[in-house]
Amino acid sequence: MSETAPTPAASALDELLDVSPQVSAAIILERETGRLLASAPASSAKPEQLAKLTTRMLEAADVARNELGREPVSQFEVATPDGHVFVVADATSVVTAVTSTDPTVGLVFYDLKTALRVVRDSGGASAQADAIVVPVSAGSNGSGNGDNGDAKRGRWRKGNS
Amino acid sequence: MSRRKKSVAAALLLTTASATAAWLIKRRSDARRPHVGLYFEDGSMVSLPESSPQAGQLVELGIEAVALVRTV
Repeated sequence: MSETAPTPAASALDELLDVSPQVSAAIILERETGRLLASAPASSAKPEQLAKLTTRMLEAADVARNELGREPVSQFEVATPDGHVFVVADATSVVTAVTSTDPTVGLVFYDLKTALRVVRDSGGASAQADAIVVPVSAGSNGSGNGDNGDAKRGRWRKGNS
Repeated sequence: MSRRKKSVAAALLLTTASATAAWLIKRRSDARRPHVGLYFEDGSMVSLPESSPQAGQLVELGIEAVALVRTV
């Protein structure tokens, strides 16, 4: 029997929603192409539209930083009366999260950076193109290749406290 | 403690409590006002109010993104 394993990006988002109840929805996309790698929760019906909005927000943030004459933007937060949008980018991936009003800004950024680190440590965005098909067996979680759910969970705030 | 001292202490307490409440209410309403926080690679951060020219488009896109998630 075989089963399609979730990609590291999908696992990272599942963990994100698990540890951060303030996050209503989140996506991870490839920075260069804007291609959607994963979205959560599964009931979220419009991840592609959120990905497009994220790309436009990244462009707008870059325009803003040019106008301000500053260094590149590594992360930003947009606060609105109905919720906040958080975007964190690294060299290969971008994670976007929509939260409730009055989120704990520092914690949300921390959790998003952790999600990106999980993706990066598992091989980066380029490794997410295809879902990995692995046989489901009792020993499949025991390897140290970065796909170990328990080891990954240990790097999260919740797992460390 | 004399009656006069008690009155002064009560007035001081009331003033402090009012100022604290006003500060908390203002802080909360400021947090709810649309704004953008840009964090740069050197670790610095700039908070832009909705009215600033650099924040306008980001706030519009943010409102769109929140509405998208809320309507699902």
